[in-house]
Amino acid sequence: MIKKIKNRDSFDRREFIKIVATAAFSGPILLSAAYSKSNESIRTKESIHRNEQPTMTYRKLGRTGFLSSRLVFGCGAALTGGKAARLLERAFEAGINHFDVGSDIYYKGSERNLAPFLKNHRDQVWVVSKAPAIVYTKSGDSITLEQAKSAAKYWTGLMDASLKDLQTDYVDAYYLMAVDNPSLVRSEEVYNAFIKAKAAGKVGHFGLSTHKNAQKVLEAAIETGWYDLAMIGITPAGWYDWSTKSLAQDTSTLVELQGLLKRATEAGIGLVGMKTVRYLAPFWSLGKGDPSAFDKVYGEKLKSSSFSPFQRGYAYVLQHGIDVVNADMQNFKHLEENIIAAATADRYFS
Amino acid sequence: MTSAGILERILKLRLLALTVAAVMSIGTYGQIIASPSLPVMVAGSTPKGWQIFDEAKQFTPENLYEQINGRAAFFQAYDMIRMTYARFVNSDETTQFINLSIYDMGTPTNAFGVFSAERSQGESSLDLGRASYRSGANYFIWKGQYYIRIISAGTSDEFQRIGMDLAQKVTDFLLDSGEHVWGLSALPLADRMPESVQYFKVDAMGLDFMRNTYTATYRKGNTMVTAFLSRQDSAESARAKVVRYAAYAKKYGKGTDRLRAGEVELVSCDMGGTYDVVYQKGPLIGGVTYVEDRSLAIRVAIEMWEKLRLE
Repeated sequence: MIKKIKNRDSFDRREFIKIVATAAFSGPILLSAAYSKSNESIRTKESIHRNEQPTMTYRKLGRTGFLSSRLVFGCGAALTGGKAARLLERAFEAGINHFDVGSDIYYKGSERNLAPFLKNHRDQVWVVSKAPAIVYTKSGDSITLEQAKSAAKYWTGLMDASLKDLQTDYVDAYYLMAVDNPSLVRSEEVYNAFIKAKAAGKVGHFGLSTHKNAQKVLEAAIETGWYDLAMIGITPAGWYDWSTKSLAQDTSTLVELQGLLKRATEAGIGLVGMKTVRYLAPFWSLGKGDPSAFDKVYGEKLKSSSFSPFQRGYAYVLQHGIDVVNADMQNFKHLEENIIAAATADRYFS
Repeated sequence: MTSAGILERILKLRLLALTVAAVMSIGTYGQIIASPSLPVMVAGSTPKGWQIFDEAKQFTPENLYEQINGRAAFFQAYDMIRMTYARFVNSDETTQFINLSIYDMGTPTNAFGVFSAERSQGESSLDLGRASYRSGANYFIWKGQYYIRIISAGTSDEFQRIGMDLAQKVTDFLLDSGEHVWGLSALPLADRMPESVQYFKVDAMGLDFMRNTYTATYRKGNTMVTAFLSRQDSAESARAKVVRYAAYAKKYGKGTDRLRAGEVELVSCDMGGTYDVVYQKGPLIGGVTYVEDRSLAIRVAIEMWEKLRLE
């Protein structure tokens, strides 16, 4: 026999979004107002709208026309083993409409763990996956035709596997993952593999992700005119180089990179930031453990905000040419902090 | 002696030293004990007609990201010690590759953690190590403190055959200390779905306060229920964890109820459409999560409490 020890706690439903808004401001109304102001200008006839909520801000992603939440849920690491699957619904409630995952070959099991969520929300969210087109060369080498053919075939096979694992027949975009070689970016073999997949109705848009040699990769992507999306390793202090876990050598600051980012935008490429605050993270999270590393580039208003160093980093790049940021969120605390940063970034810049 | 000769001699001496080190590390059953010696054994496992590209390499937590990028954080969270990596390429067609990674995770529990977190349901099980499976021509094996991944460029029968041979060879030379994994034996066996147990060192169920947690799926009639179990340092720590869980449920859900069934005390958490039910038993915190039927959630949580296999 089950006995109730005490009367049910008389809590009203504390919606996650309300928590978020309350934590950031005096109340959710302010956030709703911010939403209206930030989003009205981007509502155009040709835009693609999915799951827009007053607790999030949105930005059109290049020529895709999709109004993406400025915070992208990076599912790759978070959904390995399914441990953060429960965050997906909370993220959705808060207005995140862009979910980025990766091939099983890299993020083992993540696509399969995203599938149940997609079953309920596929038409309401934008789904991107990615896979490496493996070519074993140095960043500066030109790839051979044989290597390009092999890479294209491998990438296409992984795309098919992604669709199967995601239990969907279509993803909104599929990226060449972790590209560091501009000649791969320019490979017609790989691009034709995408075109074939698009013609077959498997994918909508072509993209790439890069966090090594990223400037040259992005320049190559602009030059081709083929890419709709680029996910780039970028920080407030400039390019992030994953191979050293540091800022790229001799990198220009993000402010100095505005010209290049503008060219990408004019070429119709939606810019997704990644690894934005990894440098600040502790060693066990592959960072350098220096939370104040970017403080020198911040203005006083942002520096004196109640934001954490991670929130500041996200807010800064979102106000400096990056359309949206992809964040790996492994628990509710991360999710909550990042939503606040993405939704309120514009408050700290005049 | 020319400089080329000197170089050749140095390389030979280096290889000899590595071989001696490897031989000295071989246990009673011809199995490798120390992972620093693995490159030599790995090189010796090169499939016929293939060659090792460059050389077998080793990575530590400090530089694992150079090899596997962001995935390194996953292995670091489980206290990885060392990763040995080799890329084999077909001698006739060098774009064809098979990548071998051997993660020394320090303990069988940590190795089980990474293996179980990456394991996909429904793959073909193999009779290698403590647990293993094949996905296409890719092989994933847990043996003692080691987690082995073999990733192939293709899925053909030939890749499957070569991958399996390699998996067999590597598994044979790795030692299993036999140390048992607590959660596998503690979680009740009745109704437990095969190969459903997972171990999360951090952030289990997306909760930053749930560490060292096992989860498993149970079939209850037509419903699958996920149970969890975590061992704390003391009963006081376990109680504090239950309080933390309830606080999480109040923050993100609709509220909590405290219940008693005989000697079992439970906290039922209404998460808005689904229920979590949490209990404490000595230094253990356990429960069920994400169950749509509240009464089922409570019933299964009580069953789990009663059937926990404690030594």
